[in-house]
Amino acid sequence: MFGYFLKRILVSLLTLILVSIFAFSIIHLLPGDPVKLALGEAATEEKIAQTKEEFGLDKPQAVQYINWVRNILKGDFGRSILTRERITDLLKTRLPITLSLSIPALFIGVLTGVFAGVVSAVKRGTLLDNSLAFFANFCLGVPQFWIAIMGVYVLSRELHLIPLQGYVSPSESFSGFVSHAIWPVICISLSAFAVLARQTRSNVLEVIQQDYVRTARANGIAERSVITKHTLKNALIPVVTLIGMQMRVLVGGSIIVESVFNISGLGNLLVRGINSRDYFIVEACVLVISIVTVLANFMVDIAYGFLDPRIRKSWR
Amino acid sequence: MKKVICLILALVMALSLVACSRNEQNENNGNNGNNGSEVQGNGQGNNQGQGENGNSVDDEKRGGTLNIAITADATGIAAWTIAGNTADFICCWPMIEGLFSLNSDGAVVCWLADSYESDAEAKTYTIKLKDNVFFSDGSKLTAEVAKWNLDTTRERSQKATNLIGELESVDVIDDLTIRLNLSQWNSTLLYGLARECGYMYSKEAYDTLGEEAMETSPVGTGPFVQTEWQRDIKHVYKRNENYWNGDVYLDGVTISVYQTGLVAQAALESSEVDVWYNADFSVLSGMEEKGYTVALGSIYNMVPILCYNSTNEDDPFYDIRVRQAVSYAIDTETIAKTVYYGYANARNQFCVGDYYESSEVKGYPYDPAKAKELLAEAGYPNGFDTTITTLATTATKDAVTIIKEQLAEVGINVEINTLEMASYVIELTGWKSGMLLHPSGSSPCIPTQLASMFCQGLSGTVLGLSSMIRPDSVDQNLRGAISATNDEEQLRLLSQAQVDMVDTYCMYKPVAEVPMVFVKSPKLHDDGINEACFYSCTLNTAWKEK
Repeated sequence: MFGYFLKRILVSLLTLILVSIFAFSIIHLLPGDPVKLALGEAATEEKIAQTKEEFGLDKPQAVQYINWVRNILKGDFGRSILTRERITDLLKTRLPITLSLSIPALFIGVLTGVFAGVVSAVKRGTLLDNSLAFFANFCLGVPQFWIAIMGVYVLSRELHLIPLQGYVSPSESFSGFVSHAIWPVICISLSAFAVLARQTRSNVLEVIQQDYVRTARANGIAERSVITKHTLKNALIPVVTLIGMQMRVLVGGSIIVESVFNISGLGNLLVRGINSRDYFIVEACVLVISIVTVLANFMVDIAYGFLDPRIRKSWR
Repeated sequence: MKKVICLILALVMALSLVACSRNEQNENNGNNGNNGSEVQGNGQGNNQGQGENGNSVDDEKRGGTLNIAITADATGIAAWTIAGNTADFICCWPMIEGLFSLNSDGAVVCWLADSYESDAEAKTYTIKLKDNVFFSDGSKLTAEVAKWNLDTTRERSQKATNLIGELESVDVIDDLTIRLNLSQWNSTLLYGLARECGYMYSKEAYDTLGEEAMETSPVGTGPFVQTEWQRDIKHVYKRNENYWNGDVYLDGVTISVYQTGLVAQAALESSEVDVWYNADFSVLSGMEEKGYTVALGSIYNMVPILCYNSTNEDDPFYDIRVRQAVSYAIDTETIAKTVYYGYANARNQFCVGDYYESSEVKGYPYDPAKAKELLAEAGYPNGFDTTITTLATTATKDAVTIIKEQLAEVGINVEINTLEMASYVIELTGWKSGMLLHPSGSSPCIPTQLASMFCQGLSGTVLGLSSMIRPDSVDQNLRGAISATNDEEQLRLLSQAQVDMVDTYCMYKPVAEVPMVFVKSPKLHDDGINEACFYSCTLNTAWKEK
């Protein structure tokens, strides 16, 4: 078991190193000069050179990468080239905001998605199954920003049910948080709902036709018990993988929703960083998103062991 | 019986509550009036027009928060961190004031300065400050503080080279008088001091709080004090109770970032915001029909110009006849009407407003036949293939699409290359061939604006630094216009420069003068937002209908 954990940790670390190199290279390969953007049209060559030196951007890229990693290991993500804010401070304030949206969104998406998938499979071919399939396809096909803006127009502007935009921390006012976050959370959760509903339905349908399920039914076990005890446990194993993957989508994929609702989360910060070629912000955001993803996948790997005795057995 | 007694008691309690609340209201009114009188008594007020009705007019105006929607946050709000984006100025409106301001005609007027004298021969401006100006931290604006501000700006502001580059030193004459010594005469220097280069910050706060604090929460002389700045989200300001220029009606100002135009529009329509900056031109007429005020400013702030690569010998545009042909082939009237929905004016020269407009410039009125003739003369009877590079905004993309179609009529096949800002700023200084549609911002002071773009010897992120010719005559006339000692001379030299840039050398084709758009709630009054242009407004007198 220890060997298995060690192996997973080493793979995770390797993934993070590769992601960091990838993130660093990609942003530096993009055309655009962050210093010129930050200093504006009136900047002189001297001022540009001076600023590049200040941020270490005059050094070779390999040296820049090593310096960046060295500083991160000390807990310093550097400063924004555009605003000179400390990126560590930015991450400390922005990541919790994104997580406060993405965790409830994941929770809602998983619960509703798995439930809808099971119901669809059990009621296969009925109006309910078709309706759920249509809704899941609708959620996958319609752009997230469209749903977000429609919500703003209908729920906020016309019905005045929720605020138009903004964010209130749950520690500041829980009711304020709920009223501000409800629509963004629903928008973010829709994709998870759709993916999980479709995957769960197909997995349950596959498992439901297995011999052992037929045997259970032949033995007179109640249908509810057949589904919950015998079918779901096996059908949900691939779904757990999807949940892990959805975590990446939820943390990094809240960009659009954060932009529409003017929420100062990680996604918003990443967009600002990309637009202004603020290298250190983009690198930090990508690294944080990849850490969250790697952690989520690590937890998924552990969860496999508890869900599937065969995997647990292989740990020994 | 019990029920009757309970009912009577409930009625008495209700009446008592109503009566108490009225008394409270009266007390509040009385306090407001007293405050107003005291301010007026101190000779600081300019908003106390009570008249015969006592405080009723002021009380009606008093209160409320002005909410402004912007599309992107300010880069900086300290004079030395301001990059020149519109949002930088908007976020300074409530709290920072300058020595000078612009009136509704776009002319420079004194604000924190009381008066000024200029001496072109001695190359000096002598500025007398108002005696009663205090920063929100209680410190006074003195000549020493003004000197410190101007010295800091001169050394560190990103726009200082362009706007006040001739300012060599500042002398303190007395407690309220400073003298600006110039290296060479600049008749347009005060325009620079009517924007960020003339902003005044509390030196005491800078010394006490430090530079970093001043960059995020600077202390100025404005009618409001910033209490919160959540970057990319909002700025919150509360009323400066000790404002030097009289009583302020609004309780506060909130400037929020709305990255999505549709959400900003919805916010305005549901009264969540009162002012929406940077509305799309396509929605303006609809908003006007709904009763909203569309403030375009008396002086427009953007001049998109189609620049030609005139330095690359291998490019067809090296030949002036090709540049002229393309200029004749483009119908700018159509672009102004279509792209900007009639809210822009087609211009034959780089100009905003009428004051600096030259009647000498002939320009290139739409004439495809003439264009074909010139192309044939230049050796391109069947046209040629070329590119237009531009910034990826809705308006510029629409404009280059129309230009592409119009040029196709004379045989020129155009490939459109739209770039996001980060890539565009690199292309801006030196695109390799073809044309660049540059949505240039413009100061109301055209001589300064053109000199910062087309004089020789410029460096940094300058339009067409390696792609556009900069003829000697243009350089001399623009420099001459800036250092002219009288208005006639300045206008004559500027006119000559405009003629050279457009007619003689055909360096670019001006497309239109385009306004900076603010859509405002009809319930907002006396705010002065975008009356002349976006550099300043009068939030000290602004009020909202309840």
